[in-house]
Amino acid sequence: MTEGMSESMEMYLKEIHLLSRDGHAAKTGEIADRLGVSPPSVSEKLDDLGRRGLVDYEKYAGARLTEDGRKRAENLLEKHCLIERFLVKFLDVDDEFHEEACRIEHVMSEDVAERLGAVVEQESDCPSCYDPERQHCIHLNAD
Amino acid sequence: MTANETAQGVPDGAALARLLQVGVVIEEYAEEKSARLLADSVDDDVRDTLLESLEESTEHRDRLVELVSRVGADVDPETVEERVRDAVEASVEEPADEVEALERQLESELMAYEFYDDVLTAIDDSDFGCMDRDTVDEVTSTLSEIRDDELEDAREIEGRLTR
Repeated sequence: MTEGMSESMEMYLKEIHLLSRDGHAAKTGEIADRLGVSPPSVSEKLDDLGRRGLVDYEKYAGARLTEDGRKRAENLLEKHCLIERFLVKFLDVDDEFHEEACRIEHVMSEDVAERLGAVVEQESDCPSCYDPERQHCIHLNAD
Repeated sequence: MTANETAQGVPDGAALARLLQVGVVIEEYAEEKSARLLADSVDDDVRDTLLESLEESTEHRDRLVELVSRVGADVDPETVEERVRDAVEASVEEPADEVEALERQLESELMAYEFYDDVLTAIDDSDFGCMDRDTVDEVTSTLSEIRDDELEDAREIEGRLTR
C-alpha cells in the first residue's frame, strides 16, 4: 500500500485520474457512481485528499489531481495492471482478474510492484493502457 | 468493490491463497533466473552462491505449494514452471560477469523478501474469520522463516558486492 494512504484513498485517486485524464474535472456524482458510494461521502473524501495535497477540489467544479496526486494515481494503476497481467500470465486467472487484482493490490508495496514489472514485462504505454469501461488493461483480451 | 473504508489487511482466505500462489511464482522465477545466471562467465565461487540460492528457491516454492493447499486452494507447479521458464528465457540474458550475476541475484532476493514482508504486515492487520487460528499461525510462521532466509541471502550478496 502507498505509505500513509488507506485502500479507500488509493481507489479515489485511481478513479479521479481515470475520470479526469482527458483534461476535465471529475464530478462528485461520477466518482460516487464509479465507487458505489454516496456523493456526500465523496465530498468528505475529496476534502481529505485536498488537505493531503493530492487533489484540487471545488464543490461545484469537481476534482483534479495535483502533480503529486497524479503521480501516485499512475503508480497505483501501473501496479494494478501488472498484477492483472501477472495473474493471467502465470496463474491462469482468466475470469475476474480485475476483481482479483483489486483484492490483493493493496497488500503489495510500490517497491514490490516495481520489481514485478521485470517479471511481467510492463507495456510501454502503461498506465494509459488501463480501460476504465472494461476495467482492465487493454492488452488483456477479455471482456 | 466499493470504496467504503475497509481493513487494510488481506481481505479473506481466498485472497491469502492467491498471495501464496503469487509467492510460488516468485520463487519459481527466482529459481529459473538463478539457473540462467549460471553462465560460463561466472567463477566457481559465484556459481556456488547461485546454486545455493536456486536450491533454496526450490525449497521455498515447495513449502508455499503446501501452504496453498493448507488454506484450501491449489496451484499447479508444472504449469507455473512452464510459464515462468518461457518468460525467463525470453527476458533474462546471461550476465556479462560475476558482479552482474550477483546484482541480478540480489534483485530476486530483495523482491522475494519485500513481497513476504508486505504479506506478513497485511496478515497482521487481518481477521480471517472462518479460517482456523492454527492455519493462520502456520502461514505466518512459514512466511516469516522464508522472509528471513531471503533477507539473510540478500545481505550476504550485498556484502560480497561491497567487498
